[in-house]
Amino acid sequence: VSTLRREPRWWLEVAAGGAVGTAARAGLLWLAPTQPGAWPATIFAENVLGALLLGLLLGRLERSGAPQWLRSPFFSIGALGSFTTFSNLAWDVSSTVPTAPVLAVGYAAASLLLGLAAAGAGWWLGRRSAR
Amino acid sequence: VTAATFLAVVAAGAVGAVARAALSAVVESRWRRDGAGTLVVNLLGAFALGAWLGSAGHLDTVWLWTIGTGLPGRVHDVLHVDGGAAGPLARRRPPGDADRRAPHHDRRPRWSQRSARRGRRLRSGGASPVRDAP
Repeated sequence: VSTLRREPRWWLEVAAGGAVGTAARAGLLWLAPTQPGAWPATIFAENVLGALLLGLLLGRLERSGAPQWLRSPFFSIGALGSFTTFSNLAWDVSSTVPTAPVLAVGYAAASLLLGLAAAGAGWWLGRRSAR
Repeated sequence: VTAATFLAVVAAGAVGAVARAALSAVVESRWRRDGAGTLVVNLLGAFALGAWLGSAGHLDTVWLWTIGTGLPGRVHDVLHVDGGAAGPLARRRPPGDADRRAPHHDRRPRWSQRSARRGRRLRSGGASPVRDAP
């Protein structure tokens, strides 16, 4: 339970990051809402972008000399954790399966594969940028 | 989008992030597996979102309920017996519509239910173990 015993500042940073990430996600959804029965492009883009940014961050942190402020949970656990959403992905897939199963399976597969590719590419870029 | 709505979303995001980190830490302190906390948080979040949307009458499927419970008998009830009336995500049906209720909602004694089923089968001209016997 080491995480639970962290100092209040750590939790405050998580909360602040969560607020920022959620606001960004909700803002994008308000700007470009998902249409029923259509490809959930906004959620898809948010998840892939979040995976890319998380990979970038972790790749950068893996190298020595990363600035201390980047290690804050504000970015990883808070902001990027709230910017991406697994529950919305699951909801969109499950609610689309009865009416458009091909779309649902394609969306799930594309989210997973492109998310993995984005995280890997971000990690590679993060390590490369630290040289 | 009003300012109040936006503030509510932001506040909920902060609370959710803290809850996510805390739950993940508790799970990983017990299971000692990397990623176990994230897995539990993701599954719980998907189930909670489905239950919430379903309780408001938005859910047309029982997929999340099925994933959430994993109880074979319950899944059978939800999917096959009465078209979803047993699940918490079921659509509301008119009260008193007894003919559309599932057999397991029938509170009569078993012998009475068997008799009623036999009568319905005979009236509808379906297969009968007595009439169709060789």
